Amino acid sequence: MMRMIRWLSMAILLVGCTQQDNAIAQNTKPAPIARGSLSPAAPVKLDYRIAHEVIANQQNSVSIEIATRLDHGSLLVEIAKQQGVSLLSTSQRRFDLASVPHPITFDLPVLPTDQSERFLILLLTVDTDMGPMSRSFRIDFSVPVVDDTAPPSNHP
Amino acid sequence: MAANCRRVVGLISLLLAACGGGGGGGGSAAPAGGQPATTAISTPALPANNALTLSCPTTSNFSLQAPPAIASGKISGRITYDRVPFAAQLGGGLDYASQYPLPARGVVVEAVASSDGVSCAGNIIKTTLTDGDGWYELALNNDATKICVRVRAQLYRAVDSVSGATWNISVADNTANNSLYLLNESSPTSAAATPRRDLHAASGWSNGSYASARVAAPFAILDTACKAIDAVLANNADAQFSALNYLWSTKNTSDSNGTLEQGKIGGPFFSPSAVAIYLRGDAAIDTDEFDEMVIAHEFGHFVTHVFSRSDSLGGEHSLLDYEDPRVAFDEGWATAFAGLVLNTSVYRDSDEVATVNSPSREFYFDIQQQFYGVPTGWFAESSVQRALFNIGAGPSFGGLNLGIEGLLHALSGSYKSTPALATIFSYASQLAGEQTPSNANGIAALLNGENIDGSNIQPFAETETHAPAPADLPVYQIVFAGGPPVAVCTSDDYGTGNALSNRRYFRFDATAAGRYQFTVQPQAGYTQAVAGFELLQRGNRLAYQQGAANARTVRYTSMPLSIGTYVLSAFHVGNVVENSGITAGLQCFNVTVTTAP
Repeated sequence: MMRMIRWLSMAILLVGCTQQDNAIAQNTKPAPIARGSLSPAAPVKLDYRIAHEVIANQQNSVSIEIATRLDHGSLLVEIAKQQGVSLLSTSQRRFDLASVPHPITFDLPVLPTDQSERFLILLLTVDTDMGPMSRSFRIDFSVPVVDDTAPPSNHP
Repeated sequence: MAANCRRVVGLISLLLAACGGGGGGGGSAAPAGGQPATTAISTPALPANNALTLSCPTTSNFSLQAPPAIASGKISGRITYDRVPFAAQLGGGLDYASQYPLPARGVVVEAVASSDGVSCAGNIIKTTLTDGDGWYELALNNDATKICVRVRAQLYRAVDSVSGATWNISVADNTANNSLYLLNESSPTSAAATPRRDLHAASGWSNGSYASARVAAPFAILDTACKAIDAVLANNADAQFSALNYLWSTKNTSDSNGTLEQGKIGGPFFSPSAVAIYLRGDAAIDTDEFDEMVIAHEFGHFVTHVFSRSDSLGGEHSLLDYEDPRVAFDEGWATAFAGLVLNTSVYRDSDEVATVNSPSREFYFDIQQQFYGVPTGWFAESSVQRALFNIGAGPSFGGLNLGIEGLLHALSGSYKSTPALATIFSYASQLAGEQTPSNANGIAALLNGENIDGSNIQPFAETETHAPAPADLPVYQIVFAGGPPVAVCTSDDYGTGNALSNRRYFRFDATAAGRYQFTVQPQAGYTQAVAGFELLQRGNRLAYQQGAANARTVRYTSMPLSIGTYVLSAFHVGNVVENSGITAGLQCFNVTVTTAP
């Protein structure tokens, strides 16, 4: 079924595509570098990007991207711990892996405080044929604090 | 014994020592590509009892009478650390309330002569190793010199006339210039004043949280490494391990947005380029120092790296994945190795995070258990680890009882130089060939139980008939120089990067020495296909080509190749190369080989 969908999408692409294909890449590119062999883990991975510079007491947003090769069951995303960061939205989200577009993306509005250590810990739990499996990820806001509520410095 | 453990002399603290230079082992700058810098841990002086230390010593094999007699001109004592065990109940994670002291075995102990009589700065005047029960003895020239005892987080043995075995396993801090961890006295005293000095590396856990320095962590890591060293020595008493650094820090965390020097390691992993194993120590989310299966699993990768070969692509993986056969084999091997070293079938990886909805404080599974719906086959690490564990394990696990020695033996020898890729096919072919017919039949039966054709298994998988889809077979196609184009399709059906059928493999026999031209060209109609290509000899990459959106065919003209068998890997760049900008998907190519002038 997946392959049939792919064939159909290929056919659609063929209609509007006139990309040149007679050029040949020869003896040019280096191989990509692999990081190493990780230990086994739950089949779910989280990447994140903080929208802009972390400034104390100024609302920010974290773009979350969750990838999993599972296509059935559910994914539960929970804020398991937080320090120095206030969450401005729900602390729990559940996704149906069969119907949600992959990768799963959403934004997390937050308000960092002026603490030196600021982080969120997200716990991701997926239903698998081996039972529920969890994996936790740290989102780090601990960059040098810039507090926009502080009086301006007299120093140049 | 326990009373001695607690007789901690003086104020002991975990200190960091800059260990650069020495023995010509200077560090190097980080190479391009964000890989970690090579480590610059110094080699200790030859331990006084080096010749007596033929293995990482066990409690039943200690070399000193315990406790050593107090004698003039000697300092002796016992080195211990806190072990935090797992809860009896699976899912319970680490049970900090039940921590207990264990001997630090085979670690380097130094006598540092204080240069000013007040501090512990000075020259190292004696070096020794602890025995299997943590005891050490430093024979000094006089009783009056003020000495500090210093324990390096380092297992060490030098080659000598007694044994060719050698190892040098350190635990260092990747967030502090890869400096070695030490357990150190803080003020010097003479041997006459304090002849007995027991040093204890405490966990730092108190009243429900870490309240002081986590001195035990490096020594807990080394204790697991010690078990793994012994497992390898059981197969080869003269095993020569290369230097290995475990890189652990309280900053090492489950976040990969940053550098390794910041502790953003993502998860525990083995780096073949740095010959280092990174472990987490972030107490807010996940610590690895007491996760023996994690530590031994990564050591398993080190073993294949040093004593055999690994063709693995690395990266993220799980038991539920359909993986490239090289990844499935390497990961399955490492987990089976860990289980056999630690004599358990249960993999446990603790974490510090739990909620009402997700109460488990660990990631765990039983290596031997099969689950409906979880992939089985040559592309599944769960199958590889289960088969190898059951081949090596003894009767108490219902195994074939070849022992870890049997599995290790097959890693060396002709398997190392097979022209096929390092997969369950090449390994099991070697393993079965070394065994009696009865054991070979047992191996075949275990593989058959994993949907891997185990009878007459061949390195190039000619007899394999199982796959998730017919298009995933054969494992290798054959391409001839001057022959017709061979059609192949690569897909992202099982993921990208290191998944099954991202890359498709070809056997190429160079029947004459000379130059060859290899071409991977998108088939007609595949207008989004962008070809990639690798040429491999015994798992080593001879060439890599990657096309682009405006140059979708790749062509490689080789340097003169010798007569022999090679492996080609053909792929669609979008399925293999992260952030390439090329869309992943099912893409088909023609592969041709011609002789080149």
